Amino acid sequence: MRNALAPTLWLALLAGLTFAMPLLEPLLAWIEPDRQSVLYQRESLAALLLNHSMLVVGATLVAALVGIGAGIAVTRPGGRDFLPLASRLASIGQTFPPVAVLALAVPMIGFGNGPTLLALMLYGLLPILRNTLTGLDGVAPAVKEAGTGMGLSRPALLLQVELPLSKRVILAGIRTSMTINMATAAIGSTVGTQTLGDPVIAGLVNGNTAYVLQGALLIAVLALFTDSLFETLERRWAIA
Amino acid sequence: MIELQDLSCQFGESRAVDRINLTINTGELCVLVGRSGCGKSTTLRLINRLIPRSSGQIRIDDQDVEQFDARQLRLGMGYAIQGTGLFPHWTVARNIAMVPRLLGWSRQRIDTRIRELLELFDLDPATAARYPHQLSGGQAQRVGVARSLAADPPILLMDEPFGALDAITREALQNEMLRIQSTLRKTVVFVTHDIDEALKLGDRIAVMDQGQILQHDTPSTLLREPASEFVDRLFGTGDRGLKLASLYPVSTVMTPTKDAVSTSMTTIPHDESVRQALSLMVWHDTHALTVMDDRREPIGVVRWDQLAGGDRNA
Repeated sequence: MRNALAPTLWLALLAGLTFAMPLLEPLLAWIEPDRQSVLYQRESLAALLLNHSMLVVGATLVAALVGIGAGIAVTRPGGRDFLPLASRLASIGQTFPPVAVLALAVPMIGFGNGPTLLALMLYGLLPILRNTLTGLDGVAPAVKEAGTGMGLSRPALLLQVELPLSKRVILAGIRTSMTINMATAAIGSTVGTQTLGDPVIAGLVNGNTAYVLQGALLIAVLALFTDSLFETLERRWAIA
Repeated sequence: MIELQDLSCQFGESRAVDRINLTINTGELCVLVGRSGCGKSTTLRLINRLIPRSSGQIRIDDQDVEQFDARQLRLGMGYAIQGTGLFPHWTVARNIAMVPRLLGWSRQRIDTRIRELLELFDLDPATAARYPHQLSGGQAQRVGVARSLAADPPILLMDEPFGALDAITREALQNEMLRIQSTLRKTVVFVTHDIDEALKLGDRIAVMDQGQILQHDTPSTLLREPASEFVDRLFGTGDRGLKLASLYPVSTVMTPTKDAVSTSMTTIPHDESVRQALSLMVWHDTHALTVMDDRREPIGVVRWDQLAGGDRNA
């Protein structure tokens, strides 16, 4: 029960910030005393939060499917040849800034949710792929040999032995991917995607620190909530 | 019966196994012994087709193993390896249940079997619920062997199963192996690099070097009549007599007697080896020992000058 407490608290804080931001008006007004408007009202924070989260969850789902799938494929006998390529891609991809992906994607697929989704998917793919490779590689050869030697088929070995033994490492990859993307998605506001980055961008353009603060707070709490959710799940799997 | 005929296995340029011929009779424990890289493990893996053969034949009860589906073949053979290969995320019970589950046994039958095996290997029934990392090295290896026996396969393949254990635990497991084998009478192929282990466990021993079988014989023949200098050296020169003496129980050389034997004499259990008798004589500075049976009743006497020739009496 204690483990489930942290995500619940973060979720409560997130809801509080989303729906009761006006309560913070005195504080924001104290930060920006010369402004008429200190509360971001061009779009409801709830709508921004929803679109932001959906984008990240969707991107992570696709990234997890592709990343885990590719990780499995290149560790099978038939795909072994692509293992060095895949692990090099996984390392290089991490050095590629998501802003660059956005900039490259806009001319191809235009403004809106599309380019952000693409950038998040590509950026989120790599930690998942890398951890899948690490996890599957970490299964002791003796365990695999015993399994095969006793008559487990290849798919059964994968499903009953290799994946269960590497699931924690893979989950850690998804956790990294999703937490980073919760923060990264904000950049999507620069190409017309509705995210929690909207107040931040608007605040920067108008020099309104109060706007920046609202967006930044929500993004930070959202990322912390995501992270604590995964931590709870990882702990549960550690016991089993 | 397992028959290997002109069996070869080629990895690129090198021949890991080079046209070997070997017959292992039903109920026999055959040890493949040799230095690392001699092809003994490869031979074992050729039998359950973990490695494909390059040429030759492997027949089990007159059927070529290639005729079976590889998985079906493996389900019918126990497989125990060094470092156990237990699945760390499964309990001992689930580990043992693996092959029976694949064979579709009922839950009840599996549970009964797990209890039987834990008892056979002298393991606490509570062990069933533990995870491999909660076991000692010896317990884990017992579970490893128990798992390979789970579905009661007629054939057992063992690849240095006791290699990672300390000397005392290893000896305990070797003794258990002998005890279990004397009742179960499986056809066992046992790979080891430990000569003493080979002599202790093997009904017959196949000595391998550079992918070839140099000699396939009983332990005493290998010691007395090594076919080549390599075998001669492998089995040691200095303490060969002691190795030979450790192969036979004192009951094969003693003089049975019904008369009351002087209790002042040092005693020895009837199933101890001649080597142990020699050791006791040297230690206690005596020329004779009283041989006791399982109920600790004297059944005979063994004298200093009777110790030689046990292998000819057996």
